[in-house]
Amino acid sequence: MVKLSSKTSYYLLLLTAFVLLLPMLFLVLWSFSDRWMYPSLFPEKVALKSLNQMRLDPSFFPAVLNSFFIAIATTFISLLIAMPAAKYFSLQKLLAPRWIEVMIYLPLILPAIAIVTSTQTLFLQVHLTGTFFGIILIHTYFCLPYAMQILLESYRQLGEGYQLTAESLGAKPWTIFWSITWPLMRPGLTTAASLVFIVSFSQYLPTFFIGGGKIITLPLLLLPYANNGRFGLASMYSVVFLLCTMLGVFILKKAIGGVTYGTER
Amino acid sequence: MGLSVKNIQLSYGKKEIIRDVSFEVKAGEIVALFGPSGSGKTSLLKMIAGIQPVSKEKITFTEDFTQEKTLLVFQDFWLFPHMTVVENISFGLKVRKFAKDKIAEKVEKIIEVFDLTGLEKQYPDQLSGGQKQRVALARAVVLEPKLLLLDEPFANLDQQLKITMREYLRRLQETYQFSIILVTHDRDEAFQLADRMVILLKGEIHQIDEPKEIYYHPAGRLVAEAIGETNLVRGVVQKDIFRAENVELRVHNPRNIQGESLLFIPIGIETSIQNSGVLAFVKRSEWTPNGQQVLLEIGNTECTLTNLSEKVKVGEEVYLTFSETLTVMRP
Repeated sequence: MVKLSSKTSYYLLLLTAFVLLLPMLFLVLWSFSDRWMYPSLFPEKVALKSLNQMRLDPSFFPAVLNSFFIAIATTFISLLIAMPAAKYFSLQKLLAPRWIEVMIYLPLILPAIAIVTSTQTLFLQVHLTGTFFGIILIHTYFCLPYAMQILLESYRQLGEGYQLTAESLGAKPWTIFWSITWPLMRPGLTTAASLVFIVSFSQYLPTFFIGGGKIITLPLLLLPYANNGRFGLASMYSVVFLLCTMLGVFILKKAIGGVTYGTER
Repeated sequence: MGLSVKNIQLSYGKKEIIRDVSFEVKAGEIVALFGPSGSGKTSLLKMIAGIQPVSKEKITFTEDFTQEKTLLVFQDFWLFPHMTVVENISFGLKVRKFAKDKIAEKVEKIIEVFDLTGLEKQYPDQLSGGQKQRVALARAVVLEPKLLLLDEPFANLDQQLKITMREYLRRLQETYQFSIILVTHDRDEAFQLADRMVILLKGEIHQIDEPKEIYYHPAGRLVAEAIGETNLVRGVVQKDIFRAENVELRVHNPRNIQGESLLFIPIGIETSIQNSGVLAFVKRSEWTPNGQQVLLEIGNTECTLTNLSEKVKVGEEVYLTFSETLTVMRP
């Protein structure tokens, strides 16, 4: 491999960052433009039209709150299921890791539309359509693979040694969990929680089908605008969407505790 | 008596790891569990420590020995990385619900004993190998164990540190008077530290004895080979007389072997050169820091000896007399 000088690699990094952030710049430009037609390079007129229209939409604030509520609840439930499951799978010797992998990814391998429509039929029978609980359940189904994969890897890295040592020193399971496993798992948990939150926040199809139009989330508002070529409004929603996910991830990081000393391995 | 282990068995699936293992540990005794990697030693320790399931009646604690007073220190130390040295050491005291001032007092004392002064606020990744080892030991010893289980305690340390730590452990044991079960595959470690050695090979105990006894009179060829000994002279035994070419010798024959057998000559056995005895032909002579190392042909077999009473020259024929009665074993 060619070794780059520190200066070259710095500029390369800068270029990468620029390329990555470029689409965001367009989002912002679109959000605040009134007219932007070919061949002009930049918006011809800057305005707050999109912002106002979004703000005045009566379903906008409820959608933001719904999205937050559903994503946070999904994150909580996913971690609650994934933690013990990942612990079990990381220690068991019965199944080969390859099979576990397939099992974990099954919800992502199976066609989503088939799952969603059949779930809708089932949920209709048990009166779960149009409820938050129904939406949270289906979101959890699609988010679990992400949580499982990350936590499984964290548990594998953590190994049994610390727990066994704590046990040998006389600690009971509950103490072992709170003073050893939890703090050492924090980095993995934060990553898993953030990813689940983002994935749940951006779900469209399951929310649409199971919510039945009764529960509106941000993606449900955003998508029609993007499809109909109303780029200004779609961009405005996208910017809000981005900010919301960033806020959510930030909150989760603070709540779980981020990196404490020595847990970075 | 303090601990008794009876008829322990362990299998993973169809693979049998430990087959019928029994031994005892007395108060204040250091017992080395010696055997190659994969012979189930660590599993055995985990069972005794109570962190691996075992049917109850098979491990018995007597006198003031209890499971709670039995502590395991792993090979990899497993210091909690998010806790300081003090927090690591006080962990066991905290879960045992000692009062805060009592914990502080005990920890302060143990920090001094273990030479950890000044490192109280350090985290494990700021410590050297020897310091980590001492913290791991301190974390167990502070709980005043009756029985300390050490799993390859010095395997992760360099040679110099190993020797220092062995000495350290011995002094510690003399001060606190706990028993130790030491799992090791390092024979020098076992010979140096152990009062008794338990030779565990392929899930079975082959011999339990004092290190010296095991060295001079191993129970069989497998034991001899496990402790790194290679001088085995082929011949024929009748009652307590062993015969091979140019060799006729009174021997130990504890198993009453008749006919084909192997004569075991420990590499380090004290050997004097006299006018009569076992005839040997000097093939090679090398200098080592531990003295002269000589390759001799005894009864058609090449043997290495390091503890000869006088210097011999290559090409010479000499007569050897051994300080201990040698043992014969099955081929």
